[in-house]
Amino acid sequence: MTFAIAPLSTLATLPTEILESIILFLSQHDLAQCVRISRDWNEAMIPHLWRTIPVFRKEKHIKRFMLPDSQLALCKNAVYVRELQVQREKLYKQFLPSRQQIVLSDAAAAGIVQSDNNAVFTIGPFTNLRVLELHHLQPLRKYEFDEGISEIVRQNPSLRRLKIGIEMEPTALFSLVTEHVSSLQELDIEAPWRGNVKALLDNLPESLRTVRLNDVAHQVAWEDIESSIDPRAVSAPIKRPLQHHTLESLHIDGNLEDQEEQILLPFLEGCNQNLKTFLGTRMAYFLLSFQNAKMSHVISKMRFFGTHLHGDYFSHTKPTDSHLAQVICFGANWTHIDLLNQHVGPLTVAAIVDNCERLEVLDIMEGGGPEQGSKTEIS
Amino acid sequence: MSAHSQILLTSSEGTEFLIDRDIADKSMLLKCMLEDIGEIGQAVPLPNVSGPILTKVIEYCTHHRDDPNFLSANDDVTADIDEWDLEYCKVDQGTLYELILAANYLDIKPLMDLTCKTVANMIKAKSPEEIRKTFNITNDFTPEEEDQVRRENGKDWVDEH
Repeated sequence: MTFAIAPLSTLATLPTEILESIILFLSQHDLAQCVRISRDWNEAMIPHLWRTIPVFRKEKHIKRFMLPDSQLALCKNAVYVRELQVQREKLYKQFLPSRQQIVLSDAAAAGIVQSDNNAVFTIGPFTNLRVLELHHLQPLRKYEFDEGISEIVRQNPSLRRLKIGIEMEPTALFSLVTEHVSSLQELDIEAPWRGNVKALLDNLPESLRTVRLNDVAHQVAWEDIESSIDPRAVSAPIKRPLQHHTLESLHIDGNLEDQEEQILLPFLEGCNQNLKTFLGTRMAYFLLSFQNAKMSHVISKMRFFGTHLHGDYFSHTKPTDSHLAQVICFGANWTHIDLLNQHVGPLTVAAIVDNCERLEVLDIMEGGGPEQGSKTEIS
Repeated sequence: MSAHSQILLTSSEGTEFLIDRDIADKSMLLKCMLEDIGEIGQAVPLPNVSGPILTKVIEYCTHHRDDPNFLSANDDVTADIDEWDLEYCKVDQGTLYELILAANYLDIKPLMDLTCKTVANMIKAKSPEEIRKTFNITNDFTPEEEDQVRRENGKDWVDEH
């Protein structure tokens, strides 16, 4: 069997997958030249040029997007945008759906719906986003952008990574991350969140691989599930949470009102063995919660302790020598132990010697006094 | 399988090529096929690859047959292309595109990266007019359209760094 390869007249007629392999080696600046070559090239290259909206760190970059030409272009090409990173109030106002009404004086150029004498059109809509990062912002009016954020997330069911650095009204954020992001793999809530942490964790999408909750404070008033997390009702059946078998990394900082057992334990049990990293101040609590037999059992089954143990994990607690010794026994993989700011007694030392076969760096001060300090390197 | 076993390939015109097994193994397509079904003693037909292009592909795989970094050779976007590879890619554009297609079909990633990078280097750091000249493309935009494309996608708002 023979068959001839069709003559390839231009680069732009190469199969898309091959064109993409070439484009990998081009910068955005190169692509911006390519779209000016000819109609064919324009058609082939435009989606690649618009795949990522550049990050705007400088005022002049933001100003560029205020020009009518670039707004028009963004409107036309929003469908190709896969990654959007929004920062600064101006960009929040411009990129989020409820704020997307822009008045253009040049109606003809826009070719879009006309109202009165001005052409009114909306930027976007972005519908194919994979990455949406809403960077830190303190808006003038609290919760001013909630509606727009909810709208843009709903418009993008294929989101893989979502970062929220702007404080949202607790119920708005809750419904956003529990109902509208079924394909999400990475969730990063950088802004403070005050609500029912148990409900939030239990209802997170099962597709998640990485969860970072930077500043949560457990408050149950707004949700009627108080009975199941009342600390006096520890024996009450806990509602079966969703399973998060794909979760690999959990970072949680904040205040769980000493209800770790009711809030985190069921969640961790649903995470299975894939969870490799568990960081944040809540981990410290876990490290010190071995007195509780139930929690101790779950912890010993898990392998989520990292390789670095640092005394700062215990900044809010005063672990005794035997506490620290037990913590060290939990993680068999410690390679770095730094307990310079902790009281390290003979039990801890014995635990290190007996358990930490992979240890590379050890910083401790025996007896807690600097004059007796010892810095040891084990190779 | 002996160390010196050989494989017979047939190009699109029916020309036969006898190559050493370790050369064939540079192609993931052939490697997997040979591992799956074993050496059947018959020629492997490659209907998507012409004789001249297959000759070029074999030349590449033979030159790199003992290269320990073969699979990670050209995937660095910024790294320079080595001298032999540079010389190897000095072919007309038609041949270069056919090489890309053959590398893609035979699944030889370093050759794919090398040829794609070569095309990319023909575009890089050039003005639109220079790119048109390189690829022999006629500008079919009207002056107004070209101006609009430039303003909408101009390098002015694309941040390089």
